[in-house]
Amino acid sequence: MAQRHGVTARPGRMAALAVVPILFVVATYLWPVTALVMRSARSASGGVVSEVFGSSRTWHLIIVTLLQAIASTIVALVVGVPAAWCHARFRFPGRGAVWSLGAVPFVLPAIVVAAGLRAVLGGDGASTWCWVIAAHAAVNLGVILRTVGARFARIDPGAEEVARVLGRSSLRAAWDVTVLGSLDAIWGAALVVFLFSLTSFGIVLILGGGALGTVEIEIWLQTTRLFRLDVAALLAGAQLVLVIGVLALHSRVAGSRPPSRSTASRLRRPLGRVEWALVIGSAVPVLAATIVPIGGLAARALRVGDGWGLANFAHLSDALAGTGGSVTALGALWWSTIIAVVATVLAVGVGIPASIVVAGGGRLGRTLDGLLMIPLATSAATVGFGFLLAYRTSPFDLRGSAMAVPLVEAAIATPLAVRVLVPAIRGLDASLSEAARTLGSGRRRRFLVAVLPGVRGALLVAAALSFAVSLGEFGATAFLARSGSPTLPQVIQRLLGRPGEVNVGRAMALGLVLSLICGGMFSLAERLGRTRSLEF
Amino acid sequence: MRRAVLVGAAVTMALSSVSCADKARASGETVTLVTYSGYVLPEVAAKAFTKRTGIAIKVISTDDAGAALNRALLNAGSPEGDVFFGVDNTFLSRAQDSDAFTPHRPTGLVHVPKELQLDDSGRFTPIDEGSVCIDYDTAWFADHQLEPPTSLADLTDPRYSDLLLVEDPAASSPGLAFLAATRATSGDRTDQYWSALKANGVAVAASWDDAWNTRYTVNGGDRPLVVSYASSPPAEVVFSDPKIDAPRSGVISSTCVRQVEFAAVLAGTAHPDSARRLVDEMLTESWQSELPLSNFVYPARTAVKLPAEFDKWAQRPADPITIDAATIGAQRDDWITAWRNVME
Repeated sequence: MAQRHGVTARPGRMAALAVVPILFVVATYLWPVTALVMRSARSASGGVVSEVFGSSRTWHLIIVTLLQAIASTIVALVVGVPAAWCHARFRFPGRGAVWSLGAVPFVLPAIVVAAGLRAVLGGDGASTWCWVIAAHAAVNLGVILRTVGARFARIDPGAEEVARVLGRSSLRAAWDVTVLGSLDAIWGAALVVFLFSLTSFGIVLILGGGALGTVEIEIWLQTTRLFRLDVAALLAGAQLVLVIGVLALHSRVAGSRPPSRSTASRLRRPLGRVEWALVIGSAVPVLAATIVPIGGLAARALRVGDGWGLANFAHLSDALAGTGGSVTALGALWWSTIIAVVATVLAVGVGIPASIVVAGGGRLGRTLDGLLMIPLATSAATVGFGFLLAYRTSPFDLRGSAMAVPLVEAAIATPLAVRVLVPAIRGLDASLSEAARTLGSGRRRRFLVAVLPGVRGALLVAAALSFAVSLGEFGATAFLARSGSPTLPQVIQRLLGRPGEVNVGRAMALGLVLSLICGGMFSLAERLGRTRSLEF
Repeated sequence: MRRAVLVGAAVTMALSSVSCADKARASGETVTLVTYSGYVLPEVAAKAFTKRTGIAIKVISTDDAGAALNRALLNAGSPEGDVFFGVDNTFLSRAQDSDAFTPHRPTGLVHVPKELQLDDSGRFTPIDEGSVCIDYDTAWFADHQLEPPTSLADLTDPRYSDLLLVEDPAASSPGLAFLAATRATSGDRTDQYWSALKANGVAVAASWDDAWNTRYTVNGGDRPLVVSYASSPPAEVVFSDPKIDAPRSGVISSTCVRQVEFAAVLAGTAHPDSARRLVDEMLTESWQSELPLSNFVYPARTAVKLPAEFDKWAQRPADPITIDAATIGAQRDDWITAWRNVME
């Protein structure tokens, strides 16, 4: 049964609306991934399967990949769930900052978070799994905070009070009533974080400095270093099976995402040492997740020799080595911005009809919802590599086309945009539209009066999120961008890979610029748009 | 909705016109040379070429030789440039197996010894040769009153533990050449040799750039033995700042393995004529005679006069380890996999 909300349409019109999003997912995701699976099926006929899965090295890699993803998820939960509870129950100084900054690392380019941590740690990468796990937890903290926080806010604080009256401590009551009552949301968020950590690329590559391997890194190595496309395709296929399995689990456990009622009026001040300790103890790591990487970038970017200065920023207009002297860091910033704008237009353009269909529910809505979740959870390398395999023959040879990178970025951004738009559309007041209809307003007028004001904020946030994700995209772009016209994250990676203080300083300066753009735009959009995001 | 479509179309057109503009500017004017990072264009010869033909040369380089070649192979048919330089004999068969290159045989080949003409498909033109060897920091060994090793076998000696630095053979062509050298000398016992190297504390760098410029003791690192070139010592003298009059590095000549570098025209190039002219140019006497001091390699062409620094400080190894290109082609991937199994 179709749900009733402000944007209603007859089933026929819903199907028409679904055409563009479905074509888009087919072209940017299903077809590339099919090409990849076909490639791995072809290698499966050779001795490659036994070469790959008969090797203890592969299994070691798979186990390490799974373990680090589980560890990252646990760390994110340990920090995120208490923070979400504090946000849902207490009024305390900095409550708003925790909520909004908690989501910032998610929109920062992974490579920037990694570069920032590298600056804090010193050295040239080659750090340990501990830091990779910390970085994954930091990046995904926002998912836990937002998803679980929204759920906690729907649970009546009165129920906890009853439990306390019955003699339980406040934490025990929170655990019994709120946490155990929200297990579906917690599981759902945890599985999403697990998937993101499983398929993470930039963080492992930069922090690992070549010494740490995961399946995702191995796919990239096998493709670009060893040129074993058969092995890479097989690994990507195996990873895809795992991702789809986890997603199936997610769709079973994750709760529905209705618009949450605000319990803001029932917030109270924390009481006693235990509650204050929990508030501070959960707020500090959340704030640190944003402040430490950006602070590290800033400190390293501003350090010149033994003193401080802006020389690293001045160097951004120098020609980059290896690009034929034609590309400067600022030029790459400009080029990346154009690409990200195009990707954002595509993502929001496809996201709007997709969100209307998903919000409409029904079989079509649920199918599209599931279809859009898979690209989000698929590794970037799989998408990029699939693109490369799928679009390499004329007339659909996209290699070298200016549209290749925006398309793949839009493929990754669209599902995130849809996640922001759907709750807003569901939250639209159907009666407002009906009233306008009764008063004789035409479709256009009804849209302007009853629909647009309700989704304007969400559109702004969806656009900002799409832009940030596109600007920072690294894994898929690594396969598709041309050497002569690199995107900003690639320039940062190249600079980090070159010896010399000046190059590292320039990389950090660029990272700082990139993180301020992404984080700043997203935070501003959330503030102006008054719309929540990152709820899975 | 219609407006959205129009905006989308306009943006698409704007983007494609950007890429077309690139092509238009290139046509007849600029030929793009795709190569590995660290490659230095012989400036005098390149300028003369541009002046004479009106064709400007643009160099694109991002990765080490192996990775750069793989990029070219992934982009087969839709190349990032017009000419590729830097396929070496260890990677030659991988390049030969692809459709990323198109045949071209410069007339200058008659001046190149037969032993360097390793490609019989008519696509890969030998441009230079050099030797990949283990170099050592002479001052470091003198300070520590230690005799430098004299053979590959010595490298597993505990006296040299934690001193050796090699490059990752998956990404780096000197790394792969060293791998092939150990394979040629240790045969079936290569895995044991690598295990012994690992037990003796070998370090693996991501690229030659990283190894030589940051991790080698001469340049501020902590490893006095590094896989580099027989021609690294004259390079040190030429590039020294402040000037030095003798190299800081020595070469362990018994570890040297021959490396030949090839150029080829990329299939699908937008400027096939200019591309062929550039490859022809690379075999001219003026271009070849500039190679020793720009890229520290020996010219492929015979009877090219070598600069004084080269004559003085570079030793052409008397008896380099040679590996049959077909053997490398057939077994390279297995070797690399085996190496990774031992080292990681």
